[in-house]
Amino acid sequence: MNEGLSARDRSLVQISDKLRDLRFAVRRVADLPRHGGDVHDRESAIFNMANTLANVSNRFLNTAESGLISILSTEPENHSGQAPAYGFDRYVGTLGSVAAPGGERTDGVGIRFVRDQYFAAKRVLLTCGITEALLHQERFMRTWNRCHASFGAILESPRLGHEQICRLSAIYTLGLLESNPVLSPRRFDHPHLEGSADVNLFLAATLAMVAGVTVVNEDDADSKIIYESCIAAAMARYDAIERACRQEEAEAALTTLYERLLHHLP
Amino acid sequence: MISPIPSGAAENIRLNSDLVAIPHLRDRLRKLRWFVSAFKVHTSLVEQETGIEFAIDEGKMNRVFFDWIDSVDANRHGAHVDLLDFVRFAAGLALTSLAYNDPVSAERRRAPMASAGSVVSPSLELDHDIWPSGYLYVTFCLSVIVALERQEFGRVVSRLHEDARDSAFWGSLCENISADSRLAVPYLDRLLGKTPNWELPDSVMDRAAMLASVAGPRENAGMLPERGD
Repeated sequence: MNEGLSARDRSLVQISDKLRDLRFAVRRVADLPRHGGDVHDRESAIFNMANTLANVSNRFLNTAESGLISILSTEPENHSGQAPAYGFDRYVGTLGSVAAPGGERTDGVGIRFVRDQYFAAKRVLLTCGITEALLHQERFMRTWNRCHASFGAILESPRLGHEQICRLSAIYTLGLLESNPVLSPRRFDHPHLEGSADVNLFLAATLAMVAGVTVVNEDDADSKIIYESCIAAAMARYDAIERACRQEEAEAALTTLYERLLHHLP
Repeated sequence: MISPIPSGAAENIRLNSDLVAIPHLRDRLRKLRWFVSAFKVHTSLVEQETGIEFAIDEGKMNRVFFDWIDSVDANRHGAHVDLLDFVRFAAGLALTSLAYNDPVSAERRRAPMASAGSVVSPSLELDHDIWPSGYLYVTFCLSVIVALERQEFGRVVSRLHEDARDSAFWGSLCENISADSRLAVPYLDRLLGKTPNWELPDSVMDRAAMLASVAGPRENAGMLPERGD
């Protein structure tokens, strides 16, 4: 059930996620306050040693992940939250990675989607001030597996109009929501929100709007404007998005909602 | 830039003329980033004029926009009946949304810049101390109407209703819009010298101009908006 993803692609994504898990755990220990008081206290000494080890490990894991990203990605700057905005129309074509003449590999749309959307998610989270999230790239493979057949059917239809784009956004929102790529934190607060928000729901809606808006605006607005507008819309209409996702006909309800929102973005 | 709206008649209105220079203003104001950007530019001008520094809550400002869009979309059939009156009505809905969400707070006062003109001429005796943020909202919506009437219809709005000279009118506007933001629509109509509908302020088809257009099409009736309404 990993359509379009080679064993190599899957393995690299899974190794990256394992490194992220480890780094996240290490950061948690490193962030704990150091014990003060009596230096001869046995527990305190053990704790401080663990804390020091965690700090060293954190630096090592950051380097290891960056190294892996440079192998995985042709655009390592995406790692720092500068991912471009990509539209759904980027995910049409050969599913699997293929070997091109000269030995280089051309990525299939599956791994392209997984990589793009992982970095797009990272950008959204960082823009919203969620700097310590645990985000799994492998979850985007699950989303791709859930969505790619529907994406293909819509994207390859002769007429890709506003309604079809909004349907793609709705399908993607629900697909990503089922995959729950953010393992931590589960909720977040932001001054532009009227209460706290579910991180995965907010992220799913924002990424879906970014991919939808970019289909028609790629030449008119730069990525920063697209991301900021979609984040603003997802925050301003978070309650409506949440209500639509809860409905029995969630795809139709979300499509209707996006038909109203996407017209006014970026 | 702030400049008087040119008119053959005696001028008693002076609004933010930068908006007129923005091409396709009607389309652009229906995009979140342009709407917010236009409002911020207007806020800077009012700050220069009044010496009041405003703080904009971005989250509330985004909700202003989407609430406004929802109410405009719910009434969009009015644009096909009388586009000119619909533009005024839509500006009233923007004022409703601004008053309801109240995204601006007046922070502090400093000396007004001497070189700045008035967003609304001093002859109107608009007292921005009564409701500083309300003054900002009203002048923004009036500026939008003036700019769109110029761009879309070649019309020049040169005068506000005589009530605009009456400080009691502004006190009443502040009190009533704060209590029921829907009343922003008839208050704006009143300022423009149009017949206000105090009973059904947010019902587009119950507006006097719409009813008149339905009874007998006039100049702008049937002028269907080409770039989306």
